[in-house]
Amino acid sequence: MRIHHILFMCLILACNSRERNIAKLPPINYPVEDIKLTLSQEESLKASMARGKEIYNDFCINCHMADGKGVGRTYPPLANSGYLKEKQEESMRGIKYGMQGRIVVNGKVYNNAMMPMGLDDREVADVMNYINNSWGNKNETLITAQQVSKIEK
Amino acid sequence: MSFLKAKVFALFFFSLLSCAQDKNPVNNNNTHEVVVPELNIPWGFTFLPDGSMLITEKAGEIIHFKDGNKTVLSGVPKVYNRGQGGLLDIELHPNYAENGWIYITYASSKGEEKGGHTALMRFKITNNALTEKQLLYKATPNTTKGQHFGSRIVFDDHGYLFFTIGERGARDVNPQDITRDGGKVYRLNDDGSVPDDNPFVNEPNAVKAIYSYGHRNPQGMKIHPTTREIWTHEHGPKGGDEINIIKPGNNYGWPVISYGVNYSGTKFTDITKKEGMEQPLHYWVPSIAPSGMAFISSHIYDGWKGNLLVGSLKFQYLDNVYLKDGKVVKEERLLDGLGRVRSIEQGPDGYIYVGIENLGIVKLIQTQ
Repeated sequence: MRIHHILFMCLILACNSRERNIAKLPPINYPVEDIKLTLSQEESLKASMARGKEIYNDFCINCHMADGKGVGRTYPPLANSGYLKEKQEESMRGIKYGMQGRIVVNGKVYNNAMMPMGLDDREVADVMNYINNSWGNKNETLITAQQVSKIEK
Repeated sequence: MSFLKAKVFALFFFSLLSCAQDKNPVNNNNTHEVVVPELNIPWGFTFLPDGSMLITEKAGEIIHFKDGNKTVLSGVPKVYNRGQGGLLDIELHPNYAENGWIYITYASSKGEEKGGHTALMRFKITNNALTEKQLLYKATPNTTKGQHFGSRIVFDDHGYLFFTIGERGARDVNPQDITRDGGKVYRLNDDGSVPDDNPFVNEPNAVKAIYSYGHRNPQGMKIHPTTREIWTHEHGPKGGDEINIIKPGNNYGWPVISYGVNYSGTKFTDITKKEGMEQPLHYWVPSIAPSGMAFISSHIYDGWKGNLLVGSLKFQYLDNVYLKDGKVVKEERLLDGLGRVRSIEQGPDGYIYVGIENLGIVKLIQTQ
């Protein structure tokens, strides 16, 4: 079990920037399968982000805008958003079930309603992966549909 | 002195900055009173002859609000709650007192394809339940796109029913094609049949219910109180929201002509005018994201009679639009910052009622 954890951590690190980090990795002989897993995790994230971008352009862009900066006092930013960064679970819940009421984003109060988008769990995961890694945001932990499925209202 | 000058300059500079977003000035001579509290997304509402209200919540509830109490009606059709889709507008038959018909538009997944499209239904209410439900129109084909369902409903003086459907996120496919649903204003008889003199009844393969086309996403429609023309407004993308007067068979140009650009800032068209396509009566750049529409025809509001009211979702205000000779001459913000304005009606008492998201329905009060 422990070795799995360590490997997993390495994989996450490796995702940060493959070429650079692989060069820095300690000389451990990874089994071939694990190298494949590294690639596939990064590829999974990329594929998920690509699907998430389409979801974003269909469901989110009209309020949160193409640059993720939101609009004035009405729509909070996603780009450089402390809320998104620190409250991953609340963000997923918001996309899954909608949000209403007062929230504070980067020190600014927003008091509105975001309608439930009717996205399935995979679509929520995809759009999370996209907004987590766009406009300068970086969070390469791959969010999966399974994770989203466990989030309750 | 120089300090004062600097201050004035700074103020001027900041006012320029704020202009970059939306130049409509705030009118502070107004306030509100909450009439129906605690609503989430009051998409549409209407007044019954006894003064009570029927309110649609986007998520799929119809609320009867009477004497301060809310009753949720049963038997509401299943709505396709995805993106902008859900339960949309509600309107009474002009002879409601005699026949009891009530009309709604909503996103429906009825049909074989995955997804949903806008539907029109009429029903009566018996013991707080929807009865005698008749599906009068269901646009096809369904799609899982989250955008642009419309929709508003009005009746004209001849008893025709008009309703709108947005282009369902298929900009280059639907709005300019009269053989397809979406991006249209529709006209039907009150029983859902197609009037014999609809503009495209003789066009082969055309959707016969279409009255006008080339629309993006109209979420405001009302009959002008004196000219009796049909006025609509619609969302543009980034810029290019429009007000139009609807005439039979007209093409309103989306997306061939537009004053807007893509959300990303790139262009999808280079032209704003073209022969055979209608110019808007007014357009907004930047977009205000208009929803809900009403004319003030009562005498209650000093200096505002004849004005058009348009809700701004994006900037959270009620746009007070002054008209002169059929043109927009001035706009100002009412109820500024109260919330996303979704729906507007002039009540039987002549007051303006405004549905605001995450708040409720408020009465507009003018102060001096």
